[in-house]
Amino acid sequence: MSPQVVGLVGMASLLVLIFIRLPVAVALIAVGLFGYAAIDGWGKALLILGSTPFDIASGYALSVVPLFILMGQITSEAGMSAKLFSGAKSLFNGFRGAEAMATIGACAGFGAICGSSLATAATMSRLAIPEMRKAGYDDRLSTGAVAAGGTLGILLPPSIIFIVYAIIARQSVAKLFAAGLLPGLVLTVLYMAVVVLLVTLRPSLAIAGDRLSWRKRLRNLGDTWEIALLFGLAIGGMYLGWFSPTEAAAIGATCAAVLSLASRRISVAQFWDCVVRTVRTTAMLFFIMIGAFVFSYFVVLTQLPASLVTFVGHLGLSPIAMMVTLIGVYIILGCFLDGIGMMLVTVPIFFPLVVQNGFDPVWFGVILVVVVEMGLIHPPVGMNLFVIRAEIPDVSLKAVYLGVLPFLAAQAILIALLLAFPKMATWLPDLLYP
Amino acid sequence: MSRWLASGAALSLIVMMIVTVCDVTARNLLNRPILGATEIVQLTLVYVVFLGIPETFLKRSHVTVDVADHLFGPRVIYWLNLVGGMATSALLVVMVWMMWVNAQDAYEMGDTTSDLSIPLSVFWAPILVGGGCSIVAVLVLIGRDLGQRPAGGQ
Repeated sequence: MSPQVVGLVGMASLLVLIFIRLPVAVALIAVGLFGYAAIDGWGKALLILGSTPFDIASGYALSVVPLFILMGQITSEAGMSAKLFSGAKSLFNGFRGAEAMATIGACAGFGAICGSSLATAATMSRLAIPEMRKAGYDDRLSTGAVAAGGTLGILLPPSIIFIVYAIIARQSVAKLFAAGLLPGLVLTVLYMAVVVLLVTLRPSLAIAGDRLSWRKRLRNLGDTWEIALLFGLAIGGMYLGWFSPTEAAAIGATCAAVLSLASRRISVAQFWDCVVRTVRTTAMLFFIMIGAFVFSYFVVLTQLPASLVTFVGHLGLSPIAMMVTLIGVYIILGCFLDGIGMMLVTVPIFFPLVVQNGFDPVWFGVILVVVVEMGLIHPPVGMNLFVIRAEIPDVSLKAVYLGVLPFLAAQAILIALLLAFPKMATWLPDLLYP
Repeated sequence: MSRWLASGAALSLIVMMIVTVCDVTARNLLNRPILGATEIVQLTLVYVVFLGIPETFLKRSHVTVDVADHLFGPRVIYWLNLVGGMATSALLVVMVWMMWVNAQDAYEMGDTTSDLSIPLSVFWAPILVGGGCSIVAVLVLIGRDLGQRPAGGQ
């Protein structure tokens, strides 16, 4: 069998193994190992299996992962999102749908200190959905806003999924964090525009709340200083070149811990819980990354990525047509695979194709994250939707599914904008890291 | 057991955080970086990851895809879990065995890191312990599944 055929058999077996509930990490390792052995013999295959775990776990650059996760854990445990929510409510006070817009604003703010979409969606559901219900909002609007807002957690820096992409595609974490900022802000505005449009077309979805005094509004906004400080210090410091991403993460986590412990919003026991949860998430992530690396050694050996480049070249597609097709493939994959799994399985295969067609790897990272965001909220898998259901069990899944649909349009618009104006993603990284 | 390892991993994470912050502070304010801070971070990362892995198996927190679940009945899922568990443990055995070979090489060569002269076997120890405990964790899960076989015959 030619390496390409082994490769195709390997891909097919990978999909089958994942669908019969084998953990994604184990499936990646198994296919990588057997595939490599089929092409290059068992000796080398076993050698790779024995050395990859060490190589991955002892990489200095990867220490950024647990530290940013810890920062997110502490900030959500300490309820920093509550202050953000009341700050954002003050900002939109008086408009119809103010609470829904505030939810999205608070999600964006929280996403700027937390790198996980699920954590953002979880803390905001507990906080915002009960309040919007009390204010007479339709469940569809409130859950949709939280589910969509949650996705901002991974586009705005810090972002765990950008780090994973940086590792697998060998790109700079700092550049990717800079690239996500502007598209993240644009998406925040687009989500808010969706809310405005919805409540204008259907005023019954939300009611206009009471007006607050300007003094109270300013005070609420001022209360968000901690978040501004954390973001400014960790991410700002990294943009300015004061720290490496790992150092920024360590400083962010430490400041979050000190602020929360000193103000007694979390106890030492809760802090310890955050650390233990971080360890569990980190170990899970690293295990799947070990799998992805074993798998990607095999993928390189199959020459499939190169064959794919040649094959697509023969099709005579323009780069844009190719990219649109690729995005379509990702949206379909997003129905079945979770974001990190999808990224780890596909990037080794598609990355050469993307670069060969003249696309910027950092820009592609942003596109991938937006596509992963879509997967987080579109049925059937949509993890954010399940998170909301888990936090607020009496909301119907149908309401959640319906509520999130209009927000998918905002993501589609963002992708179109990124295709039309690639500068949106590359401008800031080019400016900061010429 | 896995709780103890996870606590060790958690401690390592706190050490990693503190060492990094001290290093940044010392470098930027006193212009004197801490020698070998990078190596300490690398070392603690290995402990965080590998001492944490057994618990992720025990708590079944690895990503699995369950979109096809409604196609299978509970009996099929029971068997899939069982066979999957066995395959996972077999794969882990091979993996730990190969890592053991690598670790032995590192030990016999007496390799150390460049700044602090930490023997590489200190890096390998948690990998082997974590790998070994993961095998035990998967076997425990298989045992638990066997005890909860869904009622047969329909």
